[in-house]
Amino acid sequence: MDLRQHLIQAVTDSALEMFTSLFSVVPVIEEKKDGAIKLENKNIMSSIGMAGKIDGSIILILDQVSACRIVSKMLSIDIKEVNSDVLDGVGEVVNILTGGMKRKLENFDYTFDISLPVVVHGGKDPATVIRSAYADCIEFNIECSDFKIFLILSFKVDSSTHSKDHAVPENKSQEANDMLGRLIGEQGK
Amino acid sequence: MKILIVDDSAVQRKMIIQIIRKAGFENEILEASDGKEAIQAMGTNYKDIGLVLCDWNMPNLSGVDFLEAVSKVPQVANIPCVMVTAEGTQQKIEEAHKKNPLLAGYVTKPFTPDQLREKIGPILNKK
Repeated sequence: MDLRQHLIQAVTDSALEMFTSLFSVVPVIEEKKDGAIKLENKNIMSSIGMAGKIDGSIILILDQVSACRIVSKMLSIDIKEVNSDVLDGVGEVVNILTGGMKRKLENFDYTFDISLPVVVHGGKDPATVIRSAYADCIEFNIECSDFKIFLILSFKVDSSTHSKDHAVPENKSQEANDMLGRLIGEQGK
Repeated sequence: MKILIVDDSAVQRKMIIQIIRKAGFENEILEASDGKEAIQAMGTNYKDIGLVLCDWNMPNLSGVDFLEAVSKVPQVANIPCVMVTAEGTQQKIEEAHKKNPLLAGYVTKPFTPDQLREKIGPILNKK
């Protein structure tokens, strides 16, 4: 299996796992080859960056209705309009999906770190989503009976040797440790 | 006994709270949206916190750095902490246990309500 096939499998498996665990639904996941994304109304885009042996990003694009329905299922409530929970929830969806993908690719030694999700709301036409000229791209349709998501995976393999030391600089956790000790000390007075 | 939930996603915190409530636990819940807020919450409520559920990737201070800080302060080091995160690679699980050797559990997103309950139920019932 080459990298492209590994990525397709990892995205597919991760999406299946996420939707069955969170929503008890089995989506139809297909690689999308026609390049055009058409949405009925304003879209929401959520993306996460990847850096390591694979560099790139995962971008989810969905319309407002789909976003409301997905987050309604997550919270077991009925959300009719996009609000902060909907935007947050879409970010969490791409976070979980990317984490699952990362876990599956670890088995083939394709390791990478992931960023925090970024969510953008608004704009009518997602056709201007940048498909990098410098990276390969795989696109997917993920569809259930009541929502539809477009997923773009933009990537390139970094052939240079990466240091595996992704540890946060020592002073960050030491600073947290000092602050916690100080707060507890104040409680004792 | 209070439960501290640390996750930058408000939706994820709400989902976890729903699972806790549906499992029948009525504990007061504290919320933090990043590691720094968690430090504040822990520092001022440490005598009452009996369980911490913590995400990994968050702004300002990551979950694993928060848990490392907790592990080094004797007054809070033994509070059960469970990571609840999309970071599920073997490398990350090992890193988390290395940074907090007393880590009480590791739950990978996505999780079903049963999977989370299985992890936290014994801890809450013991208290």
